[in-house]
Amino acid sequence: MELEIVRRIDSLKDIYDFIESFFESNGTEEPVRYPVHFVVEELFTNMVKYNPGNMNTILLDIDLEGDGVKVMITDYDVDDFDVSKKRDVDVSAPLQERKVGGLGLHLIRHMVDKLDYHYEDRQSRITFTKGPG
Amino acid sequence: MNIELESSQKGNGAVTLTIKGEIDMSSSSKVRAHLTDLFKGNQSAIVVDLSDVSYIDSSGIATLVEGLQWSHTSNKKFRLTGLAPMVKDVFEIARLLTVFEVYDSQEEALKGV
Repeated sequence: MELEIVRRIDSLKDIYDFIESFFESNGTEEPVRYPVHFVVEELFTNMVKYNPGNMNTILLDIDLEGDGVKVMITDYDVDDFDVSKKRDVDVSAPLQERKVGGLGLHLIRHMVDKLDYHYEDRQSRITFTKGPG
Repeated sequence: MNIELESSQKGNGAVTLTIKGEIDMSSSSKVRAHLTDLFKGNQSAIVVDLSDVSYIDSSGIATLVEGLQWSHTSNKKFRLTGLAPMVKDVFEIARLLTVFEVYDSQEEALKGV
């Protein structure tokens, strides 16, 4: 199931409705739903935030995989930025020293079962899977 | 996404901020604006009730972390209550459950403020 998304924050509602409709059609379990919503919205928000002048739409593809789902997000004419690469986010630092930047990617990596990144010809493709376990 | 915010003064010098809906990139600025106003007030404590928040993203968490930082500089108490299980999971992964004062109910959060 595919959705072409206009690159603006207002599209978050369309994304939510699209994913929810997929979940309803397939009886997806709650432990899968929240992380998938979270990860897709975080990734999409980053794509909008860091490429505001890019007029290309973003492609969201969601399918069943075993008991869970597989999600693919493709972005066009963008710089290389590997979201699967581990970055230093010190979540054990005292509050005053906490840097909020990078928290989203930290949460993403901990919420999915598998996260892959592929970049070629200025096209990025992020694929992740999430099962109920 | 739809979000509703309602603040209510309590007799003990505290104020509660009840948030309903989803806190994401498109709505976290409203939460931030509300918190900014509350921190300008004379209340000794701000209790944020998240019982009806079904979703929070990293921008929402960042807003609450900012509120906690403001509470330290303004010497006010800043407490959270009513975290749904999935929302609590996000706080746990970010290791924020030990940083915030988190309570199960508004009544408990308002004790001793």
